[in-house]
Amino acid sequence: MTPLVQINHINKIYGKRKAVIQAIKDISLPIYEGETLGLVGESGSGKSTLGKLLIGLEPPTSGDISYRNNLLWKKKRFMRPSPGEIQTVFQDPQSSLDPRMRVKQIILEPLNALPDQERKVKGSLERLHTLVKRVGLKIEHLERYPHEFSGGQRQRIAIARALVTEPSFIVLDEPTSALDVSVQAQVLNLLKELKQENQLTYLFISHNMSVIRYMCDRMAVMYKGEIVEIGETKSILNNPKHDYTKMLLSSMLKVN
Amino acid sequence: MLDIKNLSVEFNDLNGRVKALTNINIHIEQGEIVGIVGESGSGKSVTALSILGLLDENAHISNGSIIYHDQNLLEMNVKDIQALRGKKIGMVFQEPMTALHPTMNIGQQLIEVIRQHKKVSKKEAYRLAIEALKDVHIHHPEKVAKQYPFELSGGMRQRVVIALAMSNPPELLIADEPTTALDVTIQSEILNLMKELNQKKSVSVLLITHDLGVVSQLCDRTIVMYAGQIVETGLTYDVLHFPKHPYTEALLNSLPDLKQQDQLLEAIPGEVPDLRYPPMGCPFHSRCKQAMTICREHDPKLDICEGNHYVACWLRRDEA
Amino acid sequence: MINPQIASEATKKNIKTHPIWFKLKHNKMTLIGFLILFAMIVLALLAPVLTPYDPIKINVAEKFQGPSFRHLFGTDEVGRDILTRTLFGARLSLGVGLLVIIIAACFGIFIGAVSGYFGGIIDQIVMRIMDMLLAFPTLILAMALTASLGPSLHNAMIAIAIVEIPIYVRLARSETLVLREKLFVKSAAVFGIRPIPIILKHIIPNAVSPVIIQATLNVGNAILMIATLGFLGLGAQPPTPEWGSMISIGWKYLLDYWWYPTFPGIFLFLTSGALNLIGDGVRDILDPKSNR
Repeated sequence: MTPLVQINHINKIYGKRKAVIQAIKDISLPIYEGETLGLVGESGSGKSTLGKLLIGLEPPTSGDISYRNNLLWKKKRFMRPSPGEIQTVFQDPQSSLDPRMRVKQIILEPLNALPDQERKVKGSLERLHTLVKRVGLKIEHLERYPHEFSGGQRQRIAIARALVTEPSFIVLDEPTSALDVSVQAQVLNLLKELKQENQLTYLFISHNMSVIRYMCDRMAVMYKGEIVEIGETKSILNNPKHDYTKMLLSSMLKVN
Repeated sequence: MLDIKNLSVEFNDLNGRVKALTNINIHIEQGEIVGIVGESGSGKSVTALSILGLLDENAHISNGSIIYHDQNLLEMNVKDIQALRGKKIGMVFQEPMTALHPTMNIGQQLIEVIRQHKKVSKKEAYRLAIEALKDVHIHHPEKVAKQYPFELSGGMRQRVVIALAMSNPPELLIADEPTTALDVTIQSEILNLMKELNQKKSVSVLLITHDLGVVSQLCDRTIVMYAGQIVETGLTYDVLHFPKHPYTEALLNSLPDLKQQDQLLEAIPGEVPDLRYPPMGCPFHSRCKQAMTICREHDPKLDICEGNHYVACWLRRDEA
Repeated sequence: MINPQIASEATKKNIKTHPIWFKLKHNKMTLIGFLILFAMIVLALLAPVLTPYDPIKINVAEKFQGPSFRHLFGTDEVGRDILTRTLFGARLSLGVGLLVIIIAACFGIFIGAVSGYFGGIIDQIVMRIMDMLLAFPTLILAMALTASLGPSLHNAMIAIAIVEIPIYVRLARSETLVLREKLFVKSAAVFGIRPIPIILKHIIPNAVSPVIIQATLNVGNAILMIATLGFLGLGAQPPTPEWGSMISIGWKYLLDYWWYPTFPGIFLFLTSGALNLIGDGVRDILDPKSNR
């Protein structure tokens, strides 16, 4: 089975000369179609940087990434697969929605990158209404501004925006970390259902082991820019091999 | 030691009044660790701020008293409260930077605190400062003592804040989301330090958090807050294992910790009510699966359920 | 079940919350500013109807008459009615002042946003040019530009606009540097939206309020600069009625004929004061978050 995304020997170095930070050290990993790959690690582990390489926000310093066998980065240029094919939901629902745009404009925005024909089809009012209802918002919300919504609702708006182009692959960067537990559960459920319904592939970035455990088929543990362990979520949780993974698991606070 | 009675707090904003707290009763004994859990808007931080006398100007305490050793904190003047905050009541916030002096190095800050508290020479104070840093498991105390807060990581800063609290132990430590900004591996260390602080120096701790895991690791007693009210309180073990209030139960069920992959989480539908327009009856009724007619009309008061376990729910009442 | 009384209050509030008007009502000073400006505009537009005199025609027989029912604001050194000239002057000063600033702000915000968003070499070049412009005292630069273009009101306007542009470029650029890092801008880039549409849709609308505030504060300044250039013979040419040149000429007569510079002065003061009040309030009104 050929992977949807193949990451090969990626390095990412920030800064120049003396003040150099190596955010990613020689990472290789495949992401298979239809799976949810979890990326767990602490702040500064490089997990978010890896996400940025995939969505075109940062170029890798060396190495290559291919998406459906096409290179994503040629030198410093991002070779976007067809627009809207790869989407993203960020952690902070406060700053990921433009405060001056109405929800309707926000959700439809990604369509502006599509060819006219496709934009008309995907941007039809009927489709928009279905999508909005599917993510748990109401039609009348479309005319409002982001500041009128709670964190959970904003994240629903961000999810609707990511889905409007019918993507195949979504990078979720800590999508529920800023939310309350009860709302987190709503959003996680929604993401899980949407994945089923739309045959999506997720890269799920999180620092929260129990969220990863609930969401992901496979997981990779990142520590200081490297992947120290990768495999089936169940087997890693039941039988961690690397010391760092063991430490992460032992510091998880259990309620019961 | 600390006794909060019928505390109600309101905020005024342009659109009217927000009932941030309604009839809160909290009692903390010497040497106890009490946790307040709740989601954003539940009023847990407002509770902490009212004890510390740090509420915003637009806040208005409409009712109740906060009795600390026979003194009502709400009737004390600003100066006395400040003195109390320095000596008897300590605080640890989510962002440790707020508790540290930005242009003094760590050693100086510790020495200052130690000398306020004990009459010792500078040299002796420095020795005690290094001790204090060792106590919070900082490996190179001499090096850290020379550093400034901005040079330290979040975890180190929080350790320093605890070292400061330890070297001049307050009677009561109020910790508002002390580990929320930290990585998980550091979180458990900080929690252990707080436990040590509690055991070695018999400091009482009021811990405010949204994280049920933190409460279960640290607290003797747990208070669950929702929409500005206490909905359940009791020994941590009882509350987390035998929750009596549907909200607590739902909160526990919405955690991904125990669920299998093929199960969906039991999310609580809807949103926290807007406290500008508080609902009639029980604040949770609109999201409660087991809501009855009485829940929509009358607010259940917090009442004893069994032993030390209190709950505000009509389901647990005979009259209903 | 929401308490019915509170619920009905809530709906009442929603009806009242017509965005701009609601905010204006809560911001008395801004409202006053708008009223004064509105009054000025009405007076300027109705000038020919409101006074029977010609603003330009000389009538030496009536020179230096004090305020009276015939001449409410008195007359000047060649017997022209000062009220008439002040009202006609409002047309010129207000119109030209606003126009100059609008042109400068539009160019400035676009250049600043492009410069800040792309960064790198484009940014370097733009900012060096702006630094060069800012290095000169504004008035001297405006004078030099007008003189080289040839003295006329048009050229004075162009010169002032050019001189004012760097302020807006800098303002817009610094806003852009912050906005560029915001997730909603990054998201747009992730969707594959091209840079210019991102600048037009996300950057400029979010960077515009400080620019508008600055602009309203600067209109008064522009009016004064036009006046100064006019006084130096580089702007509006006499006998065109214009506040600045009226004040500049009139202040020499202040001790003997106080009314000559005083009335145009009061109008200039009221106008720039009103614009300042508006500038302060505009931020609130433009911010969708300040709805409550």
